[in-house]
Amino acid sequence: MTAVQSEYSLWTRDPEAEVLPALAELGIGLVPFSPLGKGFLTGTVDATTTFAPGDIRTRVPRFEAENRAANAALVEHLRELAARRDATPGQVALAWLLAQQPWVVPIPGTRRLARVEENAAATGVALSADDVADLDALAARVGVRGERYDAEHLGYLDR
Amino acid sequence: MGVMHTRSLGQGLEVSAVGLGAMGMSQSYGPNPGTRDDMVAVLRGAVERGVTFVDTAEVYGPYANEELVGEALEPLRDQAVIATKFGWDIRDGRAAGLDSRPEQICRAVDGSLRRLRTDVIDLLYQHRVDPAVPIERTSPGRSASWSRPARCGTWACPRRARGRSAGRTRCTR
Repeated sequence: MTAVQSEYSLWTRDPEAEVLPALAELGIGLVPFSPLGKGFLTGTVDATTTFAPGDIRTRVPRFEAENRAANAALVEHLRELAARRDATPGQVALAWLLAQQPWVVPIPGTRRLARVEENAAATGVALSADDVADLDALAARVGVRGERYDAEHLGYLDR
Repeated sequence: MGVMHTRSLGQGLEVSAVGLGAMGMSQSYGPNPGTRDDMVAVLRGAVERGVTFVDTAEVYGPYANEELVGEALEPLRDQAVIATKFGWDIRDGRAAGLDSRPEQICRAVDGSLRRLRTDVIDLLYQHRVDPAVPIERTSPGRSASWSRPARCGTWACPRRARGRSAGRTRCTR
C-alpha cells in the first residue's frame, strides 16, 4: 500500500492518534487533504466572510460564523509566526505538515496559479524546532470550535 | 521560484513535496473565478513549476474533474503523478451512496482511465470505506494490473489502515 489520504492540518489533528503511528510502522505515506483548512488557515477567511451557494463551507459546522470568530485566535497566532518567518500563513500551515514526517505530502487546492506558486514555496519555509513545537500545541491551547463535516458526512468517516 | 522538492510515499512512489488538489476546480467552492481554459492553464502551469502530484476522483463533478485533469495533463503526462479514487455509487449526477464491490471498481477505473486520457493511474484510492465489502476485496496488491476493459481479481491487503487506503496500480491498455 502506498498512501492514505485523510484530512490533516493545524486545526484537524485526528490522524495523529492512530493513523500516523500505523503508517510509520507500515511504511505508508500520508496525503493530507484540506491542509489549509478549506482556506481558513490562509488568514483570508474571517467572521464576516460570506460563501456562495454551493460552497461546501456553508455546510461545515466549523465555518459557522460564531465558530469562525472563536477560531480566529488560532489564525492570528499563525499570522504572527508567519510574519516573523517572512512567509504567508498558508505557507507556514503547509510547512508545519511537511515537518511532521518526511512521508507527509499535502495537496492544497486552488484555482489560481499564483496560489500554486505560493503553496509550492512552503517547502522553502524554515521553521525552527521551537516553531514546530509551538504550532504542535496551538490547536489544543486555543481550542478549535465546530465539527469539520456535517452529520451526514461524518457518518462516512473513521470506519 | 526555487526547485520543487520531492518526497517518497510508500512503495517508493516519488511525488512533489506539495501536490495540487484539483477537486475545487470543479465543485464545492462555489462559482469558479476562472473559465475551464483557465483551469487547464493552472494545471499545466502547476506541473511545469514542479507541482506534479495532482489529485482528483471519479466523484468530483462527477466525472468532470477527471475530464479536466485528463485534458490538461495529456501533453504533460510523463511529468505528472495522477491520483484518483473509486468508491461511490454515482447516479443522476451525484453520489447516492457507497459502492466498492469489485465489479463497480472495474467500471469506475475503466472510466477513470478513459477520462484521464491515460493508460496508467499512478495512485488509486478507495474514497470511503464501504462496510458492505470486506477490505481485502477492495485493496490492490503489488501485482494488480488493469487492462481496458478493466479486469478485476481479488486483491490481498496485508493490514487495514484507517482512512482511505491506496495502492500503486499499474493499469495497462
